[in-house]
Amino acid sequence: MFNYEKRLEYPIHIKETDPKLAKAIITQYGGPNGELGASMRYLSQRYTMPYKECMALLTDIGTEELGHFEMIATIVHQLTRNMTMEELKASGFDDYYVDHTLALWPQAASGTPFSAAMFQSVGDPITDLTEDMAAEEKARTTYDNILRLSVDYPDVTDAIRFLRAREVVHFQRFGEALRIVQEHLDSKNFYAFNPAFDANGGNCSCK
Amino acid sequence: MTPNQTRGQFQRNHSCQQQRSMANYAAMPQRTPASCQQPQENPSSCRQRRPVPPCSQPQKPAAPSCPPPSRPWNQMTQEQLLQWISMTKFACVEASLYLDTHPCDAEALAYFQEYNRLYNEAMNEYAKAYGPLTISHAKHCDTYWEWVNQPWPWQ
Repeated sequence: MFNYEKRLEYPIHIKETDPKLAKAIITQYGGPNGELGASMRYLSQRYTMPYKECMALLTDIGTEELGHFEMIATIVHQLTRNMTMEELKASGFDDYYVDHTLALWPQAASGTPFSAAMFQSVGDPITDLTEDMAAEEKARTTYDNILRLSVDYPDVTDAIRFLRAREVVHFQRFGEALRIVQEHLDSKNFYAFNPAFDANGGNCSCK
Repeated sequence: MTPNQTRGQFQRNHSCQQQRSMANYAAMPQRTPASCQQPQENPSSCRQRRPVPPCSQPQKPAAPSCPPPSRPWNQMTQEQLLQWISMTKFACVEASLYLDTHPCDAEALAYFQEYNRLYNEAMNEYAKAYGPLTISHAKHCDTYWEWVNQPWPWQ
């Protein structure tokens, strides 16, 4: 069950207008390495995790990513809300504007719409946690790239640096979850069976 | 207040080692849960975890007993109180992610309990003075549903 707290995880107060930068940053809203994909990935994978620590971690990180999704929306919104028509046309924002005006819509910087194809949920804990660790590193790299693009805006880089640091922490947490999974398995062959599915490991809810 | 000043305050408002602790929490060493009393939902068929070998990484520092905010609630501005809420809640979030994979760590549990207590107090104070930050805190909305009030976080 989800509750909402009327507050951003980290404060964002951007005074500048820059729709061109907003078009790049929107990729963390609905793009392949973005926060919506991250949240849906973790919240989808948690149902078939065979171990309670992993269920808890995926739930909690998936929830935090929704807060990050909100932060990216805020950055894009604040960078575009005071745009003039001249700024709009000069920045190349017009092809987004024509379909969405100033509204937020999950897409990549390229314009590709968000889709479930941008994440996976495979149902094997080793596979899923490895996917999660890769996802956090992809997000970190994307934030590195955004930082290079937004050097002129300390209001923006401040929030992006927070988000980037969170990705690094999540990466370490998922690494610990993978260790926990491996401890439950035969160290001579981690791949002997899928503990989320096969009768050998069972799907006992007490693990 | 510019975000950079806000961020500096984020780090300076606390005399305790909160920030360093949170950074250290990012790389938690493994610990042997020898004294762990995990509640067993189904002891007969539940598999015990093998103990984690002690690790050569440096031990994390003791959980700080962080002093409460430097001013009482009625001397904080709305922005300062909101910042205090963000700080205490963030400490809880960080601790909860660590505890998800180390549920028996007594120090981390104590750290979480302390910051959770401070967070809940602050949320109640904020709701009384400025309006609810969650629907559960809308208990003071007797004549008007203040939940709808602005600003909303992205404004």
